[in-house]
Amino acid sequence: MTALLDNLDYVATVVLFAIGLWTLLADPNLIKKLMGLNIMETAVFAFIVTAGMVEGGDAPILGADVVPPFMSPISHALVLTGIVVAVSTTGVALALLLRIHREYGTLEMDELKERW
Amino acid sequence: MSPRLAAAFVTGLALPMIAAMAALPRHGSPDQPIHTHVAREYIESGPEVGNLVTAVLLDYRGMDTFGEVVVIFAALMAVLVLGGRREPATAPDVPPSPIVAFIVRLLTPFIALFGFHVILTGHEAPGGGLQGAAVLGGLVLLNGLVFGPEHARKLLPTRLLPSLQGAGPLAFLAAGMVGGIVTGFALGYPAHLPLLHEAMVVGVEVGIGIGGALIFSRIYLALEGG
Amino acid sequence: MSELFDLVLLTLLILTALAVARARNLAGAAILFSAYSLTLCVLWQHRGAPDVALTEAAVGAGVTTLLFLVVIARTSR
Repeated sequence: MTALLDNLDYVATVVLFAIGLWTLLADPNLIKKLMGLNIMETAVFAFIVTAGMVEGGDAPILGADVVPPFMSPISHALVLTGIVVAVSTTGVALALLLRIHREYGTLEMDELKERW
Repeated sequence: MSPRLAAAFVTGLALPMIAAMAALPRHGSPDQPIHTHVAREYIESGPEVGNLVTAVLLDYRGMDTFGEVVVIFAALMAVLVLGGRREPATAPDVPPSPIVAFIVRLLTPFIALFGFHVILTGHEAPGGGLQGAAVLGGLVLLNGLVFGPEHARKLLPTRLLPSLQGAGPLAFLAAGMVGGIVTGFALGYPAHLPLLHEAMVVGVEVGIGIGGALIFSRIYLALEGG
Repeated sequence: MSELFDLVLLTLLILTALAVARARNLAGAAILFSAYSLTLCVLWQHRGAPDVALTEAAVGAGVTTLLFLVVIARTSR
């Protein structure tokens, strides 16, 4: 239990991931599903950034007046790449949604299933 | 999937994950594996001054960033293909409120200045090509949302647009070739020529920044139907 | 103090994510998503990741939300 309380930040990212996954699975609207997917992505990013943290550490910007320890620059670079790729995939998904809307006139899952 | 079933499934998935989180090393402790292997090497052998995140992005993991730039370029092409026929762009349904319009007009040059500042100082301060691209792209989107897509289109360099969209991958290729000629490794940066090193880093940053900003703006314009 | 700040931010983060999940109004959900991204940005700045925080503020709270709003506006006409 104390280990769980120590890692409360990790637990919070799992909760965020679960909320996103629930939205993705349960919400009938495709745009809301996409928002759930985005929340899942950011939860994973938050997990990676938290893992790269050091107690009392500084941001990894080197200079004359900063001293180690530093936060892990790899996790930051990884997340940075991830965020930009996430927004471009969201753009593609939104273009697909617009196309679906043009063909079927709706973005609600239950109405779409009737017109399959 | 019904909300109840989904909730049960998600809870069943989240509980083991939370249990696994308790088994991880305490976050923030400096002896986690993430701090003891590659990251320490980068920090100790990296540059004396400057932004280590940019160094990792462009230098140590340049190939990853190259792939990412190609991915966002591919995303733009996918959006353009999916966009289909071109629809006449429409002005906003409601005219913008004078307060919002005034604030956006007032802030536009400053946001643009900040975006270019973030791109150009990325190797020594927080920032860099990707961040600047996001700021500049967000600026174009903001203008489009308030004044309509036609106004946003006017902010872009119309004639240079097709070639500048590929600026990210092209700048990377150019820097990779120069590095290959000077150091013998593709995407290698010459440590013994600080001026050339800096020029290459800034060139790649500007390429990613301008190219990325145009890609974000074009994705927005394609979604608006044009 | 710093831990309290963290705790407040994490609570706010989970609350905004829940609000996005529960929102019935699509445009409202998009604005809530923007608030969620901004909270995350503050958290990351606090965690010593200014680069990531800057990107999240511009991309998550800006570009993604605006793209969502554009599509919501075009599909509800």
